[in-house]
Amino acid sequence: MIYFDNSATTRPYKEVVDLVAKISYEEYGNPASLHSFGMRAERILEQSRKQLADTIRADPEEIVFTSGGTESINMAIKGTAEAMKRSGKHILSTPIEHPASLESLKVLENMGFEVEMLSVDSKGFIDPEELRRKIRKDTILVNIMMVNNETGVIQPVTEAGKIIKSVNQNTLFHVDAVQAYGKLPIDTRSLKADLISFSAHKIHGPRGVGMLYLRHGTKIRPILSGGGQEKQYRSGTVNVPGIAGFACAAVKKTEQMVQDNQNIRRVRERLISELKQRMPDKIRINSPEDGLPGILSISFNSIKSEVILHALELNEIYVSSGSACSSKKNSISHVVKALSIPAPWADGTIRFSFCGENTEEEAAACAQALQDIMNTFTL
Amino acid sequence: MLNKVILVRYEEIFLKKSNRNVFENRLIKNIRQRLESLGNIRVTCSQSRIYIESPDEDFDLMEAIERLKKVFGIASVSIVHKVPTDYELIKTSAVSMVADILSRYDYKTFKVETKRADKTFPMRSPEISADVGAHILRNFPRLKVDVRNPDFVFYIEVRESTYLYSEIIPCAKGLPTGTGGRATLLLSGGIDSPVAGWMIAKRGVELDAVYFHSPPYTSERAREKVVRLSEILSEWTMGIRLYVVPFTEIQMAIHQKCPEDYLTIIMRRYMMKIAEQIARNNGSLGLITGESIGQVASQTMESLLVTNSAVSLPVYRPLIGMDKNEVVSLAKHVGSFETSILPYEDCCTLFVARHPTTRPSLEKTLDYESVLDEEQLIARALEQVETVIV
Repeated sequence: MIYFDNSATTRPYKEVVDLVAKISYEEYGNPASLHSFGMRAERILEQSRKQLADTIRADPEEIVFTSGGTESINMAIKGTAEAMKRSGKHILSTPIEHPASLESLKVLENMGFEVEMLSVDSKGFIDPEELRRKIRKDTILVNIMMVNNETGVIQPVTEAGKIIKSVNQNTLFHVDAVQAYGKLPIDTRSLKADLISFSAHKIHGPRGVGMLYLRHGTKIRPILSGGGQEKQYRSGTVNVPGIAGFACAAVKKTEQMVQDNQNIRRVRERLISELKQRMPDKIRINSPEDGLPGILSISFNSIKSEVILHALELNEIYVSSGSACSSKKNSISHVVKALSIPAPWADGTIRFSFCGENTEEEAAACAQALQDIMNTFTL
Repeated sequence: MLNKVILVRYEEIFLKKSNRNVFENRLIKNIRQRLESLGNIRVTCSQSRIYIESPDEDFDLMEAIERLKKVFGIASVSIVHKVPTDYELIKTSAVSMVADILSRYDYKTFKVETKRADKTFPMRSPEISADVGAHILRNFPRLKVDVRNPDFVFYIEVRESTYLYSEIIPCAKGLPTGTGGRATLLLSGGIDSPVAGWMIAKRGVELDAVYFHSPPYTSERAREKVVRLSEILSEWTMGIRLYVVPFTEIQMAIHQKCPEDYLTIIMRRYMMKIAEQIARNNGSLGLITGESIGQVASQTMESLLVTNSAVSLPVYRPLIGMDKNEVVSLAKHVGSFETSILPYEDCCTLFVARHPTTRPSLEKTLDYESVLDEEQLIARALEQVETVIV
């Protein structure tokens, strides 16, 4: 089996699975309980919080645990809007965000907020100068993803943060770092973001765990009502085993980030060079060369992406068509649309996403399979 | 279900004079098969009625009723209270049952109907009705008797035991599965074909189904969906054999060698031919399709003529005169609708020409088809058929 769908989800590290199982079974106390057994769980929780905070050079107190990327993003966007609505109703975003962002913004729009989209060029980059011009007095939030989940384009979020803070001190900046974390360095001292969203299962951690970085002094309204866990920000019994697993994965992934990226780049380049050699006229690479190496979007000429996907699956090679979240809908993804990929190509867009465990041999086998597929199944 | 019995009525079987036993026995067998997993049951037949009893205290009566609603051949069922044939006991039971009915429904009028099968019982039927009716009136002063158009009827059947009931739950009707032969359904993932199969199955016909699978043009999920649709149908049909036919090679061959506007019609003919062979190999007496005149290009009268002439077995098209919304409401009744509208492409949608012909000619079709190595293509597809028992 060749798994090239690591942006959809990753296989958890073995030590993560073992740790989650061990803590689930042995340290099942509720960290909110007053007794010492609960305190043991709390200690694990706080230790994990510290480890995770260290990976982004944040203060542990700036970390709120959630159920995953989607919840973090919802909380960041809706929670900010609720808390800031008296200062203004203007929000800036890009059109190529993840649906967790876009759908949250739609909800706000229906509530009377003004959501304005920044333009992106043919590779998907925002224009920092346009951002500077568009920030107003009543702009309460700017929402930009660090790495696009379909193309791997890396947005200039550090520059964007500086611009935002220089134009309007009060404008909050949310960065969706779900696809970036563990693959690019993130340092909250240089990245002027007030909120950053993270997910565990994209970096070989468990499902159902995420975190939101909340810079000191940033006010948001919680979206869940309940027992007031996580300093009132996120009610619900805290998922200690999952969080411990997240911390374990994050530490390992951060440690081997450079090495993983080198390896991933080799896999990516091998796939590209094999394809260019085998079928130069039939492919169009959508991902920028300086994008995240782990995400590679390629359009194939005159074939439907579902056909490629299912044909690859017959060879036990697993990829995504467009974005995994939109691949069940029978339409072109909003990102592909925004990149204005020409018609005979757009329908055949495939996302290959790699992890540190993939090999060049897998890339070569995948290219061979793609060549056979194009020869057999192009209508 | 202590002291409770399910009374099963069948109407149409009654008409089949000489074959009546065959139909009754089959119906009883089917009922047993559908209910056996619920516990111990005793099924008896007397005077054109079937009685189902269980000695199990925790027998799930409501689940049994739900299952019986999907047994073809049953006109209606009632949950019946069985009491010893003792007149005082009959009267007190009647009162407590009416109290239960009135707690659930806002009924104002009623009547009592009595059947006396046990002729040794000292009172005659009209007497029993009048007397029990009077007793109910005394206990529920707000009720009135209305013999013409009552809100509810209270039934008393005096036999060796006495059966009391009021509600009559309408069921599937039709004829018992297994009394009408076997037919082979061309099952796609759409709304129509499951309904077509259901309509024929309702007449006592056992079903086989054929699905044409075209990986990678159709996904595993599309195949799963068809298996799920077969499961839904099999709740009505006492099981289904689903034949999954690999169809990619044939579709590719047609696509490469035949004119675009004739792709669909030629593909349909291949499906019919393959289904016919599978049908003949498995004792089926006909094919079933979900076609309806004019619904799509391949279902015009001209197209149907061309498709139909690919086979010699009779092709049953029970939806032929129905509108889409009629089919949809039947699909909801069958229980297949929600599954049918799941958005996985099936092989009909990917190989569609932009402008398929609506008036194909048989002559041209045969001419275009002649370039294909039909025998080889069909033989290879049949070799790789996968059978799924649902």
